[in-house]
Amino acid sequence: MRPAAVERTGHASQEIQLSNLTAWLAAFALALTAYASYWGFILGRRDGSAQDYFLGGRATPAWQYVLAATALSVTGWVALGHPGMVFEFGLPFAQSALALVFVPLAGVLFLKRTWMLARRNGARTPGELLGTYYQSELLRLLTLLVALTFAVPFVGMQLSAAGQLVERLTGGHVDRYGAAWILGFVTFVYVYLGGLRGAIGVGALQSVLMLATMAGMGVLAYWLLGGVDPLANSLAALAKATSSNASLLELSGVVQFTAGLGKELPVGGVWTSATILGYGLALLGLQAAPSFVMLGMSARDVRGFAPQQVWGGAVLVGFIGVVFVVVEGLAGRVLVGNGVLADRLHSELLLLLSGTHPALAALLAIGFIAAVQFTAAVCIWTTSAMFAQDFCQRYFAPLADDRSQRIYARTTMAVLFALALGMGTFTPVAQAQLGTLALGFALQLWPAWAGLTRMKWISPAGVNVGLCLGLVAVMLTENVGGTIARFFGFDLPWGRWPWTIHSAGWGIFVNVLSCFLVSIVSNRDEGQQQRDREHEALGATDAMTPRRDVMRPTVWALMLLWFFFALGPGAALGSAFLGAISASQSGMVGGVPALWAWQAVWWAFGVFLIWWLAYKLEFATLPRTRAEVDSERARTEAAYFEELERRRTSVHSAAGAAVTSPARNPQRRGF
Amino acid sequence: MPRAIDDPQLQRHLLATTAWSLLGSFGLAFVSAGFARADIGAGLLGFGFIVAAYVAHIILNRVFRSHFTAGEIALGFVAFVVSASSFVLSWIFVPGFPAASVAIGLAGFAALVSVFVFYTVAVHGVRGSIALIDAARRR
Repeated sequence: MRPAAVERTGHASQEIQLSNLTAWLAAFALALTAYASYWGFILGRRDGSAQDYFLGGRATPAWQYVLAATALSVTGWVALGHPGMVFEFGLPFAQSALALVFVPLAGVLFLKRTWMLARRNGARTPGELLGTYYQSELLRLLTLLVALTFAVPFVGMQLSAAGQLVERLTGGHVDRYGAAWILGFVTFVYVYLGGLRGAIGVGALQSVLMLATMAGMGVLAYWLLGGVDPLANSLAALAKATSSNASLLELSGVVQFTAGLGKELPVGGVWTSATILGYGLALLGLQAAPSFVMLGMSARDVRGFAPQQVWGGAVLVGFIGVVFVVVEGLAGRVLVGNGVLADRLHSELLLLLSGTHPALAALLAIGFIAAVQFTAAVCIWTTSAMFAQDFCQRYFAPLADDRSQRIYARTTMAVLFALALGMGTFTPVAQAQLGTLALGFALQLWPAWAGLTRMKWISPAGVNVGLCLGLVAVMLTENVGGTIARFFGFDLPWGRWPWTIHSAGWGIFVNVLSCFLVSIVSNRDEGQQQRDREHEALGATDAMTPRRDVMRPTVWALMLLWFFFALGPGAALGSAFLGAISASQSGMVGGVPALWAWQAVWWAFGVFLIWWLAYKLEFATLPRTRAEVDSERARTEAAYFEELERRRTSVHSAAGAAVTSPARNPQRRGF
Repeated sequence: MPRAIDDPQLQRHLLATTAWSLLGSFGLAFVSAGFARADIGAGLLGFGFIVAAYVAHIILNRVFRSHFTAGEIALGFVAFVVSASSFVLSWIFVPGFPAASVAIGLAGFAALVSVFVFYTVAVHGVRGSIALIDAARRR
């Protein structure tokens, strides 16, 4: 089944190959469009309120939530971008992809209680939930701002990337901008018809297509290379090669105190442990993003949370990230060295495949498009709903009826699609700079969610100050910060990611520090009593079980350990140690680079931790009331004391029998 | 009146279309590659995906305590008849139709028929299956 020849064929046969691929691409695209339009129409046929339209009636079944949340935890950006980053930067970048295992961490820690509070208070958007709890209009608007960075530049980047992929696969017959606009329009139509319900319903297929494509591309690259031995031999050769290639397989240190990209390049590559940790933290922002939280709020119950976080997120996505994405990137690198590929990973692999399997190549391409489409649908729809409620209705039309609210949301959605696509067409540089802010911005909401669900001592002032400073820190340590500074006539002394620390890392550091300090001095404000009551009610309905009490310190310690060794400085030290002690001492362990073996080990451990948090510590399982927990605690204690008494009684009985009747046993007369 | 989102039959319908769309697409891709290149492995893998989609649909019916609807049965029969007819006509009229493609078609369609017969007999029994044919003929 391997291609007979992977060298370029003649011009005429290339044209035939391209037209076959284009025909199949068009056929699958039309089928996906028909599918999406059909289900958008079916699921949108409701007579319900605007809330049904915005939140799917808060009735999303568990299985739909699992698929949708898994897809939104990856997004088209990771599906399209990560293999290319591994292709360009090698295993050091793949180390940061380990964070895909812990992407569900925000969901594990916050989502269940967020869902419970939203149900109790009737909140319709994350901004409303946070704004009501903290009594802060600023927080409501900042949440909307974070959502907008996802909806416009972040989604726009992905639509542009999908357009570029289509252009390359069709040999330029379909223009990249046209493809992006068509994709955006199709997405707009079915979300217009079906709302969030339609987006999630169609997302079931888009999610599995995306995952199948990510795995399939890894299999494809591996197949083109020829199997395990060529890959292992090539990687071993890379490991022994010059320093320019060695940086593809090793981290370039723990941290480098450089001024940042654009000012001073780090030696040996940009991906130090510090960069990886910061980038990993940025990925943790995915499930803290307003769009994701709104998806969670639409769930009928919490039954889908734990399965998605453990099996969908940590196991499946983590496995795909550690194995298939890395194989695709590294095998692609080897294929470039062999002269098989030029420089574009996805499109060249698919074009190669199209020579023998055009339908399969088109289907894999559709998987990427489906991933982008789903991300666009959910991010833009939820942002439109938030804008309609948290801005239009809140400040301009408080008496708006259901029909008016739908009009606001749909109009906003049209504007956001136009902005996202327009930026990609006319201002791509600005779009790229703003799009890189999205994940870092979302991470800055962690303290707000922590205060809402677990840490009642975090004050509104602390959250607001921390969030503002965190957002500013993220901007200043990205390219957009330098651009803004130059606009005002001065230059920043640092570039992008100074000290090789990702902007998300800078942001969360500033955020947490300022939030903590401000909260200490301001957490006895007027609203504290109300917040205490909310936490008391939350504690009564999601009580801490005895098991959690005992295991909690151990799990937090293990989690810190994981971050240190998987994403932090321990990764550089540990993988170097592993390579040094390997039998060949060539930096390879079991035929794979030491860093890759290290990633596999910490992926498995990360899965175990997420499982323990979600299930054993019951962070994501069905909540239990305080009465139930107290009853269980009482039963546990009663059983314990009963067993203790039984053992004490049996020991006394045995001792008593031995003392009172030594004559019965002639053997014992001696003592 | 439109059905509620959590209506079990709507959920079953959505799951079934998702399964068929995913597995059927990969099945179609591999079958097409198999016929185009006379590649038995690819062709049979494609039919394997289609059989898997059918089995998934059966499992969904069991989970939701449902059965194949009249529309699904009709769509399945039409798709089967059209594709089988295309295969037979190609075999007859296309000069030099590869033997490997014949093998793919015969094995693949035979597998589909076998799964269908096995399911029908398992659910309705032998007499019941024959009675179904009579019932369909009377309609």
